[in-house]
Amino acid sequence: MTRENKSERIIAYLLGDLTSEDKIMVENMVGDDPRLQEQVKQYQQLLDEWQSTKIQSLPESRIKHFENWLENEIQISSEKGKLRTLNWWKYIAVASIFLLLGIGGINYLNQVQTNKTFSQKKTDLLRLVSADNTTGRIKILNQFQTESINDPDILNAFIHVLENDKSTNVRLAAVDALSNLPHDEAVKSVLIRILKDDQEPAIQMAIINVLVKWRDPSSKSTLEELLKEDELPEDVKEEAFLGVTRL
Amino acid sequence: MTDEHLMMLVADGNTGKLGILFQRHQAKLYDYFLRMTKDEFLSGDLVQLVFEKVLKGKHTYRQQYNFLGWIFRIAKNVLMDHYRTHRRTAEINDEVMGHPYAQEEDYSQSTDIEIAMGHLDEMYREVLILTRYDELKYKEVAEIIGLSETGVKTRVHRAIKQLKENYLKVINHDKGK
Repeated sequence: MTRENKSERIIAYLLGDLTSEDKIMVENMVGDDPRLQEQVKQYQQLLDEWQSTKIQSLPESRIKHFENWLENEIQISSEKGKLRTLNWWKYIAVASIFLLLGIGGINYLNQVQTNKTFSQKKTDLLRLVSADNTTGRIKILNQFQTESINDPDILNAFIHVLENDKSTNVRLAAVDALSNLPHDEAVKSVLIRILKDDQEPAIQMAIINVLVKWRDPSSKSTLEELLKEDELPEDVKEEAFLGVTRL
Repeated sequence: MTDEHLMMLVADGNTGKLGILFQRHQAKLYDYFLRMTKDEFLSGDLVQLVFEKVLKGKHTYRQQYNFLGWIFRIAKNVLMDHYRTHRRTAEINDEVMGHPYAQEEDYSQSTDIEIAMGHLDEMYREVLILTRYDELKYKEVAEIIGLSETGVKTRVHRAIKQLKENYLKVINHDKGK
């Protein structure tokens, strides 16, 4: 090992950069050599002196300068924070307005669409109730199965179909549609009248089912009177009897 | 509270905590700049600049970073930027005015070891300044100066050898007076 290399090994040893094995090697190397021992002493002294050198602090004026700058930055940061909060509320407010306008607009459009649809359906219904196409008449009647019929024109059209249509299936569809009006006395009296006068058992049975479904006690007497008729078809009689027991 | 925790608070908008970090580390940075540039006024400016960059780049800090290592990386960049600008200006001045870029060094207040240190090559001086702090391991120093850990160790060993030679020269010079 050269003299240069020996110096570097000693420095590494003093700085703690060696492995345990290398440390032992350096200790063995130095142990027999007074010149190397002197070197170790000198390097140790040098390192101690360097480590004890004072770390200089900034002059007071510079520290003051930093503190003023920081104070200013804190203030700027705080104002930015306030501005951000303000902006946040502004964004919320604007977003809310757009949201309300959007919801209002959508509702308005839905309403327009609903009105348009209802109006279109009504026109179709009034046109089709007198049409020849049975399937078409049933289809348009079925569109009102799930809706309350508040429009008097439609109600009259339904009653007209029930009383006059030549197709039993179309009339049954009209009964189904009218069954959605349990509290309408006019509809009830029409149904009772048709029940008594009609000759079509399917229609009579359908009307009995509607009256039972409505759970109106006054319908019980109607059914009891119906049962007294001698010429009443057996199927209708059975349906009426069951209806009386259920009411 | 650790430096890293404080810096996370700064990054989170608590700017006031930067004051604590400044109190803890301004001297280390000032000492670094002073020993590298030997200019008190300039060193004060550079320390201020480092903390301004810390605040500006607070969002780039990550908690797993060693804060002192991170701040010294900024310091190293600030110093390099200064050298680039200043040397270019000095070269122009040399051409136009004929003034050499050299500063008279004042060692009247310095100890022998500090004089020896002042005469070290810049790369050796830098590595000795940085490795004197316990918080900076070879790994962090390697990241600051852009070397491998082994490279840093080798440079430190050589720096100490040169420091010893300089030191002996200073002592012999003193004895000769």
